[in-house]
Amino acid sequence: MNFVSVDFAILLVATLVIYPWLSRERQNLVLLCASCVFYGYWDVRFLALLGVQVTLDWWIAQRIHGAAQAGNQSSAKGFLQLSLVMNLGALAFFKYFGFFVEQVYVGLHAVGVQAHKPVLDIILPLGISFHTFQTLSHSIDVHRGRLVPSRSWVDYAAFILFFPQLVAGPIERASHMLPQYQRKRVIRAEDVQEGLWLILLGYFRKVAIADTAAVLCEPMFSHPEKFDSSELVAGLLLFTVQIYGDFAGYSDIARGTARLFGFELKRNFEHPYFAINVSDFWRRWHISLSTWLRDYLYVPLGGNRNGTLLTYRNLMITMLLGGLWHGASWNFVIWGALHGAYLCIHRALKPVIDRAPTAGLLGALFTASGALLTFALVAFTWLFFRSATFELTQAYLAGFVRDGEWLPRTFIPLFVLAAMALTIDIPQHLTKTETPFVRLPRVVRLPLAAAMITALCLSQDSGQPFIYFQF
Amino acid sequence: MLRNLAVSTLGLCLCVAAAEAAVRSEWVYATLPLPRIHYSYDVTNSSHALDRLQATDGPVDVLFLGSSAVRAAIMPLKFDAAVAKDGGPRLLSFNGGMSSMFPSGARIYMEHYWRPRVTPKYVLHGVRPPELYNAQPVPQYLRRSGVIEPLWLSGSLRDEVEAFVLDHVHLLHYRGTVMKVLQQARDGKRIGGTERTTYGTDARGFRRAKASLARNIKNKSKRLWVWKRPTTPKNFEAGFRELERIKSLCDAMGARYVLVHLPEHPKRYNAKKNGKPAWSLYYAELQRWAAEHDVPVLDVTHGDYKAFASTKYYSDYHHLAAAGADHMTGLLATEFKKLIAPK
Repeated sequence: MNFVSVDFAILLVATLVIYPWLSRERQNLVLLCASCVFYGYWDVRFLALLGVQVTLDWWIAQRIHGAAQAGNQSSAKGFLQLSLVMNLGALAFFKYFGFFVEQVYVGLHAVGVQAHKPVLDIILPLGISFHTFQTLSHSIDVHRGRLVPSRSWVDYAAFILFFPQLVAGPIERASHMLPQYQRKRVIRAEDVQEGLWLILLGYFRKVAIADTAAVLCEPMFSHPEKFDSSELVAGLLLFTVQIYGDFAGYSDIARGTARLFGFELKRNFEHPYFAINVSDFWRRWHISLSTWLRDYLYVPLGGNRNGTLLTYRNLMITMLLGGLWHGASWNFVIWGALHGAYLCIHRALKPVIDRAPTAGLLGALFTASGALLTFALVAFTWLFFRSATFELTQAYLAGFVRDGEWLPRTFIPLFVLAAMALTIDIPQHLTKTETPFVRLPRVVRLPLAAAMITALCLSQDSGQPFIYFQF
Repeated sequence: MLRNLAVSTLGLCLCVAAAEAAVRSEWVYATLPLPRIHYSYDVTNSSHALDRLQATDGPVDVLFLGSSAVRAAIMPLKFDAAVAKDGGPRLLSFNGGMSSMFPSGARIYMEHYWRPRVTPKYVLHGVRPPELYNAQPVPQYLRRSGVIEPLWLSGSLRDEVEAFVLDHVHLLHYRGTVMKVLQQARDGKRIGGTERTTYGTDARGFRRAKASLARNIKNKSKRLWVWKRPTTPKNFEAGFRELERIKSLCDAMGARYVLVHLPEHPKRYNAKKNGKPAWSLYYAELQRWAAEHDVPVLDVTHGDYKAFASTKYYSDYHHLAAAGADHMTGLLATEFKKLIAPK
C-alpha cells in the first residue's frame, strides 16, 4: 500500500477513529492489525514470512536476556549469533543471492568455464532492509545489556511492523520505541497539528517536488546518449532534488502519521544539502541508517581508535556495506566507495580545514565554498545511485564532456523545484524546528496550507512509488 | 482542541475553495495549459464551450452526437438559424462530435458524460458504415488515453466516487500542470501549449476541417482509404445494439433519438468487389433497424451514395470541408423541420 493512495487514507482514518479510545494493549493490537493490512495488501505471503521472523526474533531476545540474567554468556552469544544468521541470512537470500549468482557466472565465464545460470527470480520483500536492521539492533542491544526485551509479543510485533515506518524507515531502535509502546498514548492537540503539518509537507515534497523532478529527469537517465552536457547536468541535479524530496517526504509522512498515533519517531533528515562537508552530510542524511552503521558496524570495527590507516579502512568498509545495503549492484558499491573516499579525504584534510577562518566574511566564504563543494560531490555520487546499469552510468559520464549549447532555460525546472524545496528547508533551518509554519498566525498558516494542497493538485500524478521502497 | 481543529478545517476549506474558484475562471483557463481528464483535448474544448453556452443561452435543445465526422459536418449556428427561418421553432443546438466517438464510445459518453450535463429535446446521432461495422464493446482509446473513462468503466463504487470527484473538482483537472509548464519553459515553447488551437471548436462545438480533399489526395493521406471488406448483416449487429442502448438512454432523458446518415465521398465505396454492396447493405440494415425501433433517419442523400459527391464538399473521404458542412447543415435543417413539423 502506497502512502500516496486512497487505500492508505482509508486505512489511516479507520485506524485513527478508534485508536484514541482504546486501552494501551488494544492500541498496540489495533496498530498491529493495521500494519498487517498495510503490509499484506502488497503480498500476503511476505506478511507470513515477516510474522515468522518477528516471532523468532522476539523469542531469541527473551532467550538472550534470560541467559544473560543467569550469567550464561556463551548461551546468550549463541542466541545472538542465531539472530544474526537468521536476519542476515534472509537479507542475503532475498537481496543478494541473484547478484552473487550473477557474479559467479560472470567470473566463471571470464576464465572460460561454461556454466548454466540458474533461473531463480526472487521477489524482494518490501522494506526488508529496514525491518531487518531494526530486529538486528534489538537483539544486539539486548545482548549488550542496554535493553530489556518486551515480554509482550504484541508490543514487540507492533513496534517492528509499525506501518508508517515499516517499509522505508526511519530505522528505529527498540530502546527508543518500546517504552512508547509500554504506555497508553494520549493524542494531544499539538500532536495532531504538527502531525498533519508534517504529513502535508511530506506529500508536498514527494508529489509536488520529487515526482515532478522524476518525470523531468527520467529521459536523461534512460537515454543519456540523446542529451548534451547541459541537459545531463540539469538531469543529475534534478535527481538530486528528487531523491531528497522523495525520501525526506516519506520520512515526514511517516513521522507525521506516527505523531497522530502519539509516537515520536527519530528525525531522518536535517537539511543535508546545507552540509558544509561530507561528514556533516552524513550527520544530516538518512540519519537513522548512518547512526545504525556507526553504532553496529563502524564502532565495533574499531572506529577511529586504532590509528589513521585502520580508521580509513573502517570508514571504507562501513560505507561500502552502506552502499550494498541499498541494493545488490556495482553502482551502489561505487556509490558507497565514493562516499567512503570522500570521508577519508575529509578526515585527512581535517587538520588543515580546522585552521580555516570561521568568523567574518572570510569565514562565511569558506563555509559557503565547503557547502557548495559538498553539494557537488554528493550530487555526482547520485549518478551511480540512479543509473539502472553500469553501462548507462558510463554513457552519462561520457555525455558530460559532449559538445552542446548551454541554454539557461534547461535549468528552469531545476531552479523552480529547488526553490519549492527551499521554501520548506530555509524556514525549518532558521527556526530549528520541523514545523515552523505551525507557529504562524492562522491568517498566514491556512492560506499557506491551501497553497500547498493546490500545488499537490496541480502536480503530476505519476504514481511513482517511493524510491526507498525498493530497498 | 476540537474548536481549534474545526476553525482550522473550515478556514482551510475556504482557502481551497478560493483556489477552486480561481481555476474555474476564464483567465486561468486561457493562461494555463489546457487541462485533460478525458481521452482527448476535444472533450475539454467541447465541455468548456458547452458550459459557456448553457450559462449564457440556457439549456441545449438539440445535441448532435457522434464522431469527428459529425463535428466537421454540422454547424449548429447555421442549423438553428435555418430551423427558425419562416416561423420555425427557435432551438439551441450543440455539436458534441468528438474524435473516434463510434457507437460504443458514444453510448459510454451518453451514459456518463452527456446525461449529467444536458437535457436536450432531440439527440441527433450521426452514423456511417465504418462506424457501425464491428463496433468494439469498449474502445481501447478510452481505456488507454483517458483518466476518467477507466473509472467509469470499472463499475466499482469506489471508482464511481473517484470519477465524480474528478469530474466536479476542477483543481484535479489541472493535474500535471506544474510539469507541463516546466517542460514548456525548458523547451522554449509558449506556456499554454497548442492544444487550445489544435483541438479548438467554435462556441457550438463545430470545428472546420482544415485541409482540402485535393490537398489530402496530393499528400496521399491515410484517411483516403477505400472500403474493401466483405460485409454481412452480422457485421452491424454490435453497432445496432449500441444504438439501442443509446436510444434507451435518450428515452430515459426524455429526448427523442434521431439517426443522421452522414454522407461520405463515393470514392470510399469504389472498390470493385465489396465497395458498393457494403454500402447498400449498410443502408438497408440501417433503415430496417430504424423502422423496427421507431427511430427516424434523416438522410440528406436520400439513399443515393453519389448524391453528395462534389470534391469541394470534402476534406477527406468522410470529413466534410467548410463548404460541405454548410451545404449539409442547410439540408439537414430542412429534413429536421419536416420531422418536427406537426402532422
